[in-house]
Amino acid sequence: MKNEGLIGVFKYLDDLVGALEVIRRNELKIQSVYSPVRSHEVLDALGLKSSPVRYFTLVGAILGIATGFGLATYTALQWKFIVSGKPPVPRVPYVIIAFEFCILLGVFWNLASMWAKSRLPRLGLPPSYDPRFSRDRFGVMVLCSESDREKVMDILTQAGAEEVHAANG
Amino acid sequence: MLQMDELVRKSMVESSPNSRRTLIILFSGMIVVGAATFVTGIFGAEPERAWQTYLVNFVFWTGLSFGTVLFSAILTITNARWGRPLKRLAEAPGAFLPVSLAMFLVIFLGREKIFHWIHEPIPEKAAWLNIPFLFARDGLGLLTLTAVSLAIIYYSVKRDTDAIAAGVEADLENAKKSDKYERALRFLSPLYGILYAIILSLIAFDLIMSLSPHWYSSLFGAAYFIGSLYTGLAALMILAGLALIKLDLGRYIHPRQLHDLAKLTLGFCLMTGDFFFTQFFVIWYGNLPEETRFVILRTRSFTWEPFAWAVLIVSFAIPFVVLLNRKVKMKPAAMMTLSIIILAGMWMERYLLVVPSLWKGEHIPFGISEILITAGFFGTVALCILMFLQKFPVLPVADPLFREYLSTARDRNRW
Repeated sequence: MKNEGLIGVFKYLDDLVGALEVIRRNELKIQSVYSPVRSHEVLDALGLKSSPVRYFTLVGAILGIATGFGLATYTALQWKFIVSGKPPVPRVPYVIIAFEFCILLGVFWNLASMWAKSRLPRLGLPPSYDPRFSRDRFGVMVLCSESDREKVMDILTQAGAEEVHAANG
Repeated sequence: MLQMDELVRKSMVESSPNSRRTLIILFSGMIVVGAATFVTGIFGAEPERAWQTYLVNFVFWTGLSFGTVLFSAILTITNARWGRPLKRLAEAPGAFLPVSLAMFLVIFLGREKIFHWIHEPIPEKAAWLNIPFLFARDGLGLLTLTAVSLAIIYYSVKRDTDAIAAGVEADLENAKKSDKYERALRFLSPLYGILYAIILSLIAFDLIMSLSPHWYSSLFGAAYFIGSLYTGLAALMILAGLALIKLDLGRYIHPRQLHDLAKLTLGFCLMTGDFFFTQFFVIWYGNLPEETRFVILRTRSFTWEPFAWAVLIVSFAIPFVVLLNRKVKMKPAAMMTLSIIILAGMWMERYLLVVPSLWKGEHIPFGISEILITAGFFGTVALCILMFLQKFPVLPVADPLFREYLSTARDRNRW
């Protein structure tokens, strides 16, 4: 069978991160890491670059500001809704509209880019997934051949894994 | 494993007598020059300039010192571990507060030059805006807040000095004793938080808002005390950077502290900007003459408009954009530079709130005398901080949560 390996289940993030560091030092292949929450420590331990999602979010937010100001100005010019003591295109209240659009488009771009980057939607869960990884446990799936199995088992156990079992990636 | 002897040794500032003497002479020189410029100014041709600069600096540095002490109180209230290495640094500017209380009394001497409503009383506000009541309530307020600040600092420092005297390990075993300090801090810290909001609001209403006695904004007090916490966090960032670079405390103050402190600074940058806009927007919409006059003078007049834009850019826009970046938040030199920019921006903001109410000239009254008086205030605050940190441990060595933080901090959280 393809992608055979061991999966370690951890209670503490620090133990998981410690395990990841040792696994990478031993040049073993990590198939997946599961965490119920986003963690910078895991990203650092895996040596991954930061996701570009934040730049997409920034672009969306800046476009939102431009859209908010633009839409408010356009409607004001179209309807000529003149209020006494105020300019026809007042900038001050448009800050609020621009702010709301900044959040709205920032969120949309964030969501869209996150879906694209994560290759979502994903219709099936990987065989190594455990529902506990969405609740209160962390997990790491390490690919290994039969000869490496004992070594990986030792690494995971010594790092503090609650349980280690065989799984398919 | 943490070596306690080393921790205790490191917690005492190890500077050579020469460098200490140089700093003391430098700061004392600033104080003397600032005081001389102030005295010359009040007896000179434009005494208003000296008094208004004094008031700007008083509200700025006093707010900053109360703001940093609030950080220490917040750590106790929230039971936070992450900021414990910065606790003593946050308490250090509290040493300026008794001096600030004395400086408040000096304002009494300049009351005729500062408070216009003495010459042109407003009958409907006379019950509130009169000199005896104003100085009595503000003096009592500052005295109370200073007393609570000093009590917090006392209990916090006493726990450490007792522990060092008894031997840290021996003292740690005596949990009951440190509980006594902890109980006092847990009582005083929330009290300080409440008094901070009330008394600094009072100071903002009386010493800044009353300079334009017809103008009012109910959010003004909150804008002042939130802005003061913002300046306090920026000052704490500078102290943390100095502790890292000059005192070599990188083993105890980690990138995480700078990162979290910078995130908190970003939060208060946004909140300070929000409180400004909330006031500005309501006044703009209402368009009532007694409210708009204050804002128009500062944002639309030929003299002050560029200055108002500079305040917005320096105190809000630049910190906001820079603090969006994650990596820069963990670079001590970059964060110290940004904190200096924030402090400069917030000083300008206080200047913009105070000076246009008092100054009637065509140009912005900013020159060498303003710089020297400000340097005098800076020298006073810096000397107080230096003396405090020379005398007391720079790390809260006996704080149980500081110990807990150090025992859980992993190598990857270090420099």
